Amino acid sequence: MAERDPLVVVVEDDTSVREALLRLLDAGGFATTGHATAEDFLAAGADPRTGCFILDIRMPGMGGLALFQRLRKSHAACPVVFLTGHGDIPMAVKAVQEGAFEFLTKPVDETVLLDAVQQALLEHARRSERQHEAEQARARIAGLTPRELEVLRHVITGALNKQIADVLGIAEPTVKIHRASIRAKLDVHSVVEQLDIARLAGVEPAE
Amino acid sequence: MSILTTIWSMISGACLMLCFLHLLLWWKDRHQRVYLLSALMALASGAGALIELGLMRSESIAAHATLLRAQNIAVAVILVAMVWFVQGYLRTGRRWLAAVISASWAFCIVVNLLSPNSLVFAEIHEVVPRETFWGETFHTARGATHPLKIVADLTSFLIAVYVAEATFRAWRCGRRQAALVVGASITVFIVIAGIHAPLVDAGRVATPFMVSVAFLTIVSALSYQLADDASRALRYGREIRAGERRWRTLLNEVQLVVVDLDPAGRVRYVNPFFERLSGRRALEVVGQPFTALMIAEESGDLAARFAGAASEGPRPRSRWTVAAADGHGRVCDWSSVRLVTPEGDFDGILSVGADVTEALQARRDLERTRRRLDRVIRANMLGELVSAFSHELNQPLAAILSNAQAARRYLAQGRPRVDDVRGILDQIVADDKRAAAVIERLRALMERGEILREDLALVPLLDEVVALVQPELHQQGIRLELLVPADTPPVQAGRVEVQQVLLNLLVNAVRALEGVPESTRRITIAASNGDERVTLTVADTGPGIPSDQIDRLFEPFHGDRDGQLGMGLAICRRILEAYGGSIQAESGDGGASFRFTLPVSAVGKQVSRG
Repeated sequence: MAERDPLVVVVEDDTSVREALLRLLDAGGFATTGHATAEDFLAAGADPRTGCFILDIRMPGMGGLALFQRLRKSHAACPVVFLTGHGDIPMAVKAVQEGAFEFLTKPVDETVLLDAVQQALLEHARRSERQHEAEQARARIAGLTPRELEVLRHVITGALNKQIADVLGIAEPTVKIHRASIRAKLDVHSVVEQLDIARLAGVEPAE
Repeated sequence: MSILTTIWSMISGACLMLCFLHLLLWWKDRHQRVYLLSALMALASGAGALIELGLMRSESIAAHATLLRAQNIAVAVILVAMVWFVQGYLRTGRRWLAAVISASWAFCIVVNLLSPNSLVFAEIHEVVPRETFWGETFHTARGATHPLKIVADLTSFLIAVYVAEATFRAWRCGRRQAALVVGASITVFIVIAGIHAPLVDAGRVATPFMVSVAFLTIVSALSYQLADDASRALRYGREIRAGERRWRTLLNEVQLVVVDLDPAGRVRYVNPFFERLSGRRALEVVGQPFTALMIAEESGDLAARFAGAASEGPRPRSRWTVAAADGHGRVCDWSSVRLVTPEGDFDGILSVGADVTEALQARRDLERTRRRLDRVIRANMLGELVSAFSHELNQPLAAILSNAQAARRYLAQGRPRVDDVRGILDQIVADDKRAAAVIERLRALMERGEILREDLALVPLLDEVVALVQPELHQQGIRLELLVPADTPPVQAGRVEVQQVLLNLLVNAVRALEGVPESTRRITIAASNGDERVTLTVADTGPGIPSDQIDRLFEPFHGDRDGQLGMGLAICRRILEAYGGSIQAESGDGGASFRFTLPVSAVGKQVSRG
């Protein structure tokens, strides 16, 4: 079942709440794993199929927020949904401002939960897609010579060939040759496409 | 003019004068029967003196016999009256001895009257003339002594013994002056008269009878004593009047109500302060039944009580309300005494009352304030606990909801696995019970009970309280150490109140740890057991309490946050003291600690002894 591939990881210290969530997500058609504490989760190691996290904010030991700070680096593509009690809403709002995907208050209704997880997995898919594209773009950019990268950084500022030749101190025809080589290596035909790849690969425009 | 005639006439006159004076005294104060007896003695002495004079002058045997019989009667009257005077005045003589003496003399008088020659002589041989040292002639009789005269002589000896003993006992009782004057004079002169008269009778000494001289001396001594008594009575009278003036001043000026009731319960007297307090005139209430003094609501109750007060004495302390002219009662605390007459009959009740109206009002106000503060502190503490409770309640509710919705989805998808649904239902039941337990704990905490002592096991009670603050501790990263031995005996106190104290101290400790790095946040609850008391300590690793505040920590209105903390501690102390416990605070580098004690319950003591 290909659509079950992304894993929903639940970290919640209350056993009955955790098991109930896992059942509901299972009934909603999601693949799941559960952990009692942040430490348990970290000890078990991340499953590469992980799609999103559902974290309880109040937990003994590390706590949901501390775990979230670590996941932002190690699992940037996996959105984090927080589960909170009423008293913890200010904490949850702060977490969202820092990049958490969503927060839900307990008790949470099935449609709200399943919808949030659905959205989180879609977001995960988008982030994964972008990550994939960026990797491809970076791979193509890596094939350019240093001079060609130099010329590209000027091209994406919208500079004309003559201007580029003046700035780099080379002849205008040479610039044209470099640009033809860049188009061939990046396998693109328009300036717009070049701009996309440069942005995805994180190429800085020339000053 | 004969010297003997002059002297004996003067003696007789003096005796008669004293007789008259004593009679007057008796007439003025007829309770004093001793005056009648002394008057009788004086009268008989006067008569005796005249008889003695007659004896000196008469030359015939027949006249001597007659006068001697008369003289014996006079002596008998004097001696018997004297014995009963001593009995009545000193009140220390032996009554039976006085009776024996009286009976003996009565016998002697009978003998005296039957004998032709009196009690003294069986037969008179002759009357002989004699001379005094200044050359005056007088007569005495000579003859055979009467065989029964020995009875009279023995009786005189008995009198000496009786008086001497009564005197000795009066002396021992501390009535030294009366004993000396009355007893000594009588004893001395009885001895003299008792020796001299028989010698004259026997013709051994050539003097006239001088019994009346002796008796005049006695009567004079008694008169001196009685006059002294009378003057002392006057002095006492003056002192009593001075004392009465002081009492009167006290009654008029004192800021206490004084009420005197007669045996029928009518008001005999009220003092001026009653008028000031009640705004009513004394004339309005004097002569009225005492219920007129008090407000109508209480009069029925107290009227019933008066009957008991009349027979058994009043309750030493009582409280009733004086009805005032302005319609506002004045509540007084009364102290009452039962009055009795000298005869021991009930003579009414004297009560002194202090106005406590303002004091009672102040106490009621204070009580009301304290109750209100009590409710406020409970509400505050509950407010802080609501988030903890809502979290605890949220957990099972969240689990139930998710489980139920998961089950519905399984069913809707047409692929229900029986095991899954059974597991879901089991968990729903468990979570439902869990939620109910949380609510039960909350209810027990909020239930307002009056002071109720029960045998409380501390370990489960502590667990309950700790469960309440556990979420808070989790969130703040506070480590909790419970050092409570399993054999801690049960204490006698109210469950809710002790929980309140513990919660209060725990909440304070949590607050104290706010500014402390998470790694060192710790709260320790320890118990140590004594024979009579269990000591519980709640210690934190916070900054401690400034030394200038530690003494005032338990005072109401002292506190660092809107008065909440201080009021909480004041209430803690009040609760613990109500159960016979105590609380104190200590502070050092390691943080603050609150140590409180509770009495071990009877069950706990038995267990520890067994």
